[in-house]
Amino acid sequence: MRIFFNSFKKQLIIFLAVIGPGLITAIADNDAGGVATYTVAAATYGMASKFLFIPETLLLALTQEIGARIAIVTRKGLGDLIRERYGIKLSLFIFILYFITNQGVVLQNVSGLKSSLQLFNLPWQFFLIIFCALLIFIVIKFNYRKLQNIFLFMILFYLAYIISAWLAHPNWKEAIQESIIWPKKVDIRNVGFWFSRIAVLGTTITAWGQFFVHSYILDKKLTIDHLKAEKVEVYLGAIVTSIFSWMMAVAVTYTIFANKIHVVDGYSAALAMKPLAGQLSTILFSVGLFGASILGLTIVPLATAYVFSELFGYEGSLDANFKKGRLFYGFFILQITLGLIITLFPQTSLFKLTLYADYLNGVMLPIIFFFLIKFSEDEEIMGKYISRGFTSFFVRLSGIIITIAVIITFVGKVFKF
Amino acid sequence: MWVRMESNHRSVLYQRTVLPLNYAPLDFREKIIAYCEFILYNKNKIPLRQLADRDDRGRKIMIYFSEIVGKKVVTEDDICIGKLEDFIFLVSDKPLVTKIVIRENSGQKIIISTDYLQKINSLITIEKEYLAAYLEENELYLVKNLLDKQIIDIKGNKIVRVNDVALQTEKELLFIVGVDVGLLGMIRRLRIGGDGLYKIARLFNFKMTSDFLSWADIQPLELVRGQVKLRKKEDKLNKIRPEDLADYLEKTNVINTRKFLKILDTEKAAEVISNLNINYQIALFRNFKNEKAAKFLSFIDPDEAVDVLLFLPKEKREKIISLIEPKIKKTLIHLLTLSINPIGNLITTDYLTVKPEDSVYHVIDKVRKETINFSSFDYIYVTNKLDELVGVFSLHELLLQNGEEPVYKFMSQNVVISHLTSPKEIVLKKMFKYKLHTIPIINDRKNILGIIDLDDIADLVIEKI
Repeated sequence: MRIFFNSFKKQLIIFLAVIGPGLITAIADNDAGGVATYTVAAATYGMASKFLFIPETLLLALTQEIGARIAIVTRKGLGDLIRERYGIKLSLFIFILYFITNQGVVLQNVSGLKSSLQLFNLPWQFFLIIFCALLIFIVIKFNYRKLQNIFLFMILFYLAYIISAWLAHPNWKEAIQESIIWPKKVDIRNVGFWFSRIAVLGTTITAWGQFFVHSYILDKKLTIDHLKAEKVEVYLGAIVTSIFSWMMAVAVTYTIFANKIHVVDGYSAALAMKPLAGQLSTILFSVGLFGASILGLTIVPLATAYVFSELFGYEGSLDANFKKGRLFYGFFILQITLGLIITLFPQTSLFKLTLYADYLNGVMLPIIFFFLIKFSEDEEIMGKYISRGFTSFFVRLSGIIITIAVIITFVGKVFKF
Repeated sequence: MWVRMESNHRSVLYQRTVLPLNYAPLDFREKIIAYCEFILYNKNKIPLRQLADRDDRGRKIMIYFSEIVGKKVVTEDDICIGKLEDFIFLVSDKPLVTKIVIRENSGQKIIISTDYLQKINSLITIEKEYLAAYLEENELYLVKNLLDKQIIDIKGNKIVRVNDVALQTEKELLFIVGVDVGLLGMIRRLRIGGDGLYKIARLFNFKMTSDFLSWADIQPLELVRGQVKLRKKEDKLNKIRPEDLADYLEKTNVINTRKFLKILDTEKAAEVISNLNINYQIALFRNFKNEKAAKFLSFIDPDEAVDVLLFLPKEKREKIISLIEPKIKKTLIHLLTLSINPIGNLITTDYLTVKPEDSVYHVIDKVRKETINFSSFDYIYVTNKLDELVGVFSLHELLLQNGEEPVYKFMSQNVVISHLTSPKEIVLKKMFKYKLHTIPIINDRKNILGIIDLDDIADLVIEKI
């Protein structure tokens, strides 16, 4: 018994040592853009917007796991591998595409932050600048460990969605029926429904998320001994994330969808909740949005900076000081500043800009899947840790489905179905 | 791939020579590096016969790899074979391009020696009759192993990636001379802006030396491990305070030395080992497996081997001896029996120690006050705060210095030492070899226990005869 307990204790210590990358990356996938997409989808299609959410969770878990595995085994980031295997031309092309995509996501998060500040009736211009400056300062000054603790703390903000789901007095049985078994309230032949479903998938499995989990694990300097524990951590992250987003959908479905109110983003959703579920619901929703925005606003520019450093070979680590990692921090600052400036000009249509970012993310996904499959199944790179069996099959299948989905969405948008 | 190397290049440079005072010829770290590179560099050069790629005045010119990759490869009689895909070069201080990799029109890869290479112009011309070759040991691919790789400095910091590779012809041979790490290298690779911008960029690049890393800054040995590592060692080491230097070298070098030894064959490695001072030797042998230790010991000078053996635990020592070949074993056992007569009773304490930061004035003052009763006095030993022996200098050297000069600036850090367990014969041999009047005896914490005077020990040996 004691031996069992000791070995359990040992495993727990290893697990606590690895905790961070998987959880943070997966949860940051529910950033402000994610919240907006889930909200709009749930407001339009109810819990059916979460239809097929178990395979979706599985896909998130597996793709993140592949990323984690490649990072731990090769001690190289996805960017490193792309540059070393495919040369400078493709690297530059991917970086430009990636930078623009992420800039769009950063924009979503800055405007998410703006919305949450407006919901609290604060002078948003002033606080937006303050928060952005504070973020930059913290990321430069703090080392990896401290920052990770802050990120983990930010996850607590998402608990607001669970309470707000509970406040909506949902019909749990119906929610499960719609999202897990078969949607009854929505006509499944509706093309618009599938567009919305793909959009939700696109905000859950993101290009930057794939790059980030890779780089972040690398920066944590995990070794092969941590591989098992890290896998568990990544799966846990995917499950927790899915629970949060499911709760979000519940909160919206049993207030806004049930009353057939039209919303366009997180801000209007939070306001619409007030008469339906009370003041507290709105506050909780705003708190959740605030946390999501801050987390996204830190992680996404960092994901850009990491990839830049990897592709072009500069020092890129949260443990590096500003002088050593000035290009790394430079790209972080650049993305936040650009996002801030665009948001501060009220005449820009944020809605359109963020939509384009989602499209670009869609374009990036098949490319990322290609690299993930290619690298994780290359014995020269992975040795005995190559992907096989179910993981390999499922990720390939998903890669094909996502590619088809992206093409259909594109055609759909161009010809205006 | 590094295991086998020609043995006809036995180093003359680093053979042990009799030296005045306590000096070893070179810092041993440099010695090892120089040694390895000497071996690598001396690999047979294959002459590149008619590489007529020179400018009008016959000067040698620099070409970038990005400028010639993908060019069509044709034979003398204008038959297109394929496109240039990669180069193969010898890993050394001055890397010679030995082979070219061509992607044939049919999609197959073919490797041919640069012997057949004739011209590099808008086309790459080769002789019409050529033979396929293969990758040999000590050879790496330029694209696969060098281009786009991460460059790190000696401390492991990431600097930048290899954006392009510069080549130069010299005496009809094609060499890699450096790597481009700048933005222009990147632009060149991407072929942005056609020829015009390209030419300007190239013009600029010759001026912008900061974007260019000479091959001399790169450690060829690290390339084999898939790293492009810089050797900015001198400036790094200069920043360290001299009294810490010995400690620093010891710590880093046992590891570094082992790394180097791994890639050398036994005989060469043994030669390198025998050039190290005893502390490193012991540190190395403690980590070696018995078989390996036995192998190395049989190549090392017997009386040095005994010194090393005496410092190992008894059990390990016996195991190693049992593995050594009979002839050498006999000598070693004989020498080991001598160690029953250790030198303990010969030790005197007539020696003076000073601190590294003491000035010459201070030392002279100390000599006046403390050495009045000494029977003889030749060297002054330097110890650090932990009382470890870190340096030595002679009275002559002391007198040559300015009064304010601190000791660490002129002391010698490679001290020839001996141990209490060493047999008299060996100590005497050592003193003759390095022409020393006295030799310090230290314990395993490097504290001086005393010194041995040449006269005392010589008397004893003569008496016996």
